[in-house]
Amino acid sequence: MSIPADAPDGCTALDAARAGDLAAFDCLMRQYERLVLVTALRLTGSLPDAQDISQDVFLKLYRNLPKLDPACLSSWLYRVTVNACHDRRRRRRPEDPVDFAEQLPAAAADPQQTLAAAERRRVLALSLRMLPEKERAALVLRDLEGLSTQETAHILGCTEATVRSQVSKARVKVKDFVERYFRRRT
Amino acid sequence: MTPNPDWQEILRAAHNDPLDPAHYTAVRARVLAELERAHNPWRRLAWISGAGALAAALLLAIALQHRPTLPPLPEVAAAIPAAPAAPAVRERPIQTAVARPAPRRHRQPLTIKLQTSDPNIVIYWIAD
Repeated sequence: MSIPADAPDGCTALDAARAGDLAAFDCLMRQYERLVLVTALRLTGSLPDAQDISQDVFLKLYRNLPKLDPACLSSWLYRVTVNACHDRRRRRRPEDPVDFAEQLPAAAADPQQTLAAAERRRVLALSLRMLPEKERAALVLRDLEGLSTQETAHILGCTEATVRSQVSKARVKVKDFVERYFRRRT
Repeated sequence: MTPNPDWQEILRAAHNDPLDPAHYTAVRARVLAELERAHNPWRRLAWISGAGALAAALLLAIALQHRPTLPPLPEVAAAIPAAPAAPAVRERPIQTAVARPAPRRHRQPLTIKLQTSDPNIVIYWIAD
C-alpha cells in the first residue's frame, strides 16, 4: 500500500472547494477524514486530541487549497497531521495526563470479538505510547498506514536511511512489548 | 487471543478497526461551522449590532422605570378674581394740527436735607 491516490472526483471536489463551495469541501473531508483522524489518533493516543488536530488540519487545508497540488494532497495531509501532533505534544506539559485511546467499536459485534478487538486496540495504544515521537511516527506511517520508506521519508522530512533505522528500532521495541504482554496473560 | 500471536498482524488489525462514524461527523461539523463563521462576517456583525441595540433598549427601559417620580402638584384653591372691566373711553377726534411743545412748567427744586452727627451741621442737597 502507498499513499492513497487522489481520485478524479477528489479533483472536482477540490476545484469546487477552491471556489468556496463548502459542500464540495465537505466531500473532500469525507475522502480524507480517515487518513487524518486515525493517523492523529495513533500519534497522540487521545481521541479528543486527534479530533482537535483533525479540525486544525482541515482548516489549514481549506486555507491552502489555492496553492495545493491535487496529486500531493494525501502526502501534504500526512505531513501536516504529523507536524500538528508533534506541536501538540511539545505544547503539552509533561505532567499533563494523556488519556490514551479507548476508541469505540464502529458496530456492536459478537461480545467475544468485541473483547478481542478491545484488547488489540489496547496493545496497539500501549506499544505506541512507549515509543519515542520520531520512531512512533515512522512506524505508524510505514507499518500501520502502509506507506513506502520513500513516502515516509518525504512526509517526515528525513532520509530513507533514517526512516529505516527508526522503523527497525521501533519494531524491535513493539515486538518485545507485544510478546511480553501476551506471555504475561497466558 | 493466541498465546504467541504475530505482533504485526495484531497491530495492523487494531489499526484497521473502523472508528465510530460519529467521530468523523463531529470533526466535519466543527470544521464546517468554523468555515461558515469565517464566510459570513456580516451575519456575525449583524448579530453583534442587533444584540447591542437590544441591550441599549433594555437599559433605557430599565432607566426609565427607575426614574424618581415627582408627587403631583397641589391644586390652587384660590380663584383668581376676574379683571375689572375697563372704563369706557370716549373717543376724541384726531387733531391734525402740529403739536406745540408743552409749556414748561416751573417745578420746585428737590431739596434733600441731610443731618449729620453734629447737630450744628446740616447739609442741604438741592437737585434740579
